[in-house]
Amino acid sequence: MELAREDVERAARLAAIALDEEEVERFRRDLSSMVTYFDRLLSLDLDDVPPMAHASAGIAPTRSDEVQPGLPVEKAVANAPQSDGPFFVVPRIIE
Amino acid sequence: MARSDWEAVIGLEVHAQLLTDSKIFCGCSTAFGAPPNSQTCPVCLGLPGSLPVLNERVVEFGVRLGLALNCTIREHSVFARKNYFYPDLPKGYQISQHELPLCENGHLVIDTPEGEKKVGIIRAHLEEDAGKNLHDPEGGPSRVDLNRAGVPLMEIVSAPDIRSSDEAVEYLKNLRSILVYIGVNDGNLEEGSLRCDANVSVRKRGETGFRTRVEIKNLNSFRFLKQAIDFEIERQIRVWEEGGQVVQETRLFDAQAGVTRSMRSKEEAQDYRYFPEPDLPPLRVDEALVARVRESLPELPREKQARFVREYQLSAYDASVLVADKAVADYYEQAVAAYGKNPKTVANWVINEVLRLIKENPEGIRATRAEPERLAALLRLLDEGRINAGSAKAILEEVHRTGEEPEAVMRARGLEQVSDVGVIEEAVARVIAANPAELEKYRAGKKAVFGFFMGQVMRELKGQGDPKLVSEALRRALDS
Repeated sequence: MELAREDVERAARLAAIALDEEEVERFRRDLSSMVTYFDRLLSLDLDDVPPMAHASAGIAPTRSDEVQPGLPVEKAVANAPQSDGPFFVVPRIIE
Repeated sequence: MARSDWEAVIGLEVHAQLLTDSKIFCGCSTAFGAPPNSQTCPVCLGLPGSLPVLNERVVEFGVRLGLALNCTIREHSVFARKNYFYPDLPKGYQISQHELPLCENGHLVIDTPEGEKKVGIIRAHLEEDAGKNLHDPEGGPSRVDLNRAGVPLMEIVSAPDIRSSDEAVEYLKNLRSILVYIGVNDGNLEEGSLRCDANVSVRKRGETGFRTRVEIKNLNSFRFLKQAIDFEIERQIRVWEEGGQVVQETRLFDAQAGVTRSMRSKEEAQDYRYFPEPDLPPLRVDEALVARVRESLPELPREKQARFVREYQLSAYDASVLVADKAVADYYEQAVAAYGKNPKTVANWVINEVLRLIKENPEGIRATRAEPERLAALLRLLDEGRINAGSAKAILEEVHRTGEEPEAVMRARGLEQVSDVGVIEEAVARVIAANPAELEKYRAGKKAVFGFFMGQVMRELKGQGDPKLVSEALRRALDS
């Protein structure tokens, strides 16, 4: 299936990434070939095959409910583009 | 068109924080009220290269809740990424369950004026909580605290079976009671460890399909839930009747104004692009775990209610009041055991007196110092005729505050009932001698004056005369 430029632009918007004209066209071609591959999978009769949710055949390992030390506050906020004391700071998000 | 031509269709989505010590996918503490960002690590901060590992207690709690809500527990359930951008969500996705949730197809029974009603539970699934955004009312940038990010939640989605705000409140009360009984949640709506959103639509009676629904957020008390739903039902009926269209949107309840308000609708429809979480293989819950959890389930509120009706001959209503809070139910049973008889009397005292004394106390029944044994001792004083009902209430109030023995309070305050017939007869004689005119009237046939004499004698005895003995002595004296 061939994707339209609008499909790529919408995906970019949802992923919050900016693409220039040339990138939109390149991703349109690349994504189209991927979607075409899924079209082939969809054409198979898989009614009797249980869905596979994960590539590993394993089962989720678990841990016991024990508190472990985390990061000191200074380290937790160290890589933030902006911080204020113990807080992460972001552009205002409500009116 | 009349209001009664419409009916409401309501479903509730409840998020319950699970009472684990550590977060769902990392070892950070879940303690409430810690300094900002003091309970974080690379996993819950969403730092590159970190991987989630599931907390086994979360699974156990999930199964416990599923069983308590009569759900099917899925042997294989799958975690999925729910993708969206918001500053309180460090990874840019929330790990949740989507297509294959842990619990499905359950129900919860509520009482309605028309009798018992089953409300379906479509699903209950595990997920992680987001952090907390803080906004300065003066303006300026927002601040983010990620202590709550990664705290385990169970989202419980009801079927659209609820038909009124009262049923919605009843559903939430019952659900909350179950959550607290089975020990997976603290039931605290105000602090947000239990959160409720309501999906509300209306339709004309007889219609089978659904009309457009609205999601109301932020309903952090039973009262707000009721107010918000009532407001929304009236608003939607008005819109339809005026020929308009209800818009599918999210609305916030403004508690101060008592109205729901539209939240700015996003330009683009939500598209969460769910896909299976590649960092977590499927969760397997084997039959042995389900059996073990089923075994450990405590008696649930409705089972307890039925037992109270059966075992103690209480009315369904009294039983429901007592079982709503497990601590109250335990208190009641201890008091019955200590008293050793007449469970109905004990129920009346607990419901009418003890619960009144602790009404506004956030600690509930734990706040009273009138322990079950003390209540039983008080009731025995009453049985023995040593105090009357009025004194008993006054004594209970003091025992509730101080934890003193009822008998000691009775003595200290001189509330012991006068049952000495000689003392009562003396008082009767004094009153009759002091009121010759009333005696005349009584003997002339005006029997209503008896009440006057009764009051005077009781006053003479400072309210502590045994009413039965006083009445008998008075009758003997007046009719002789």
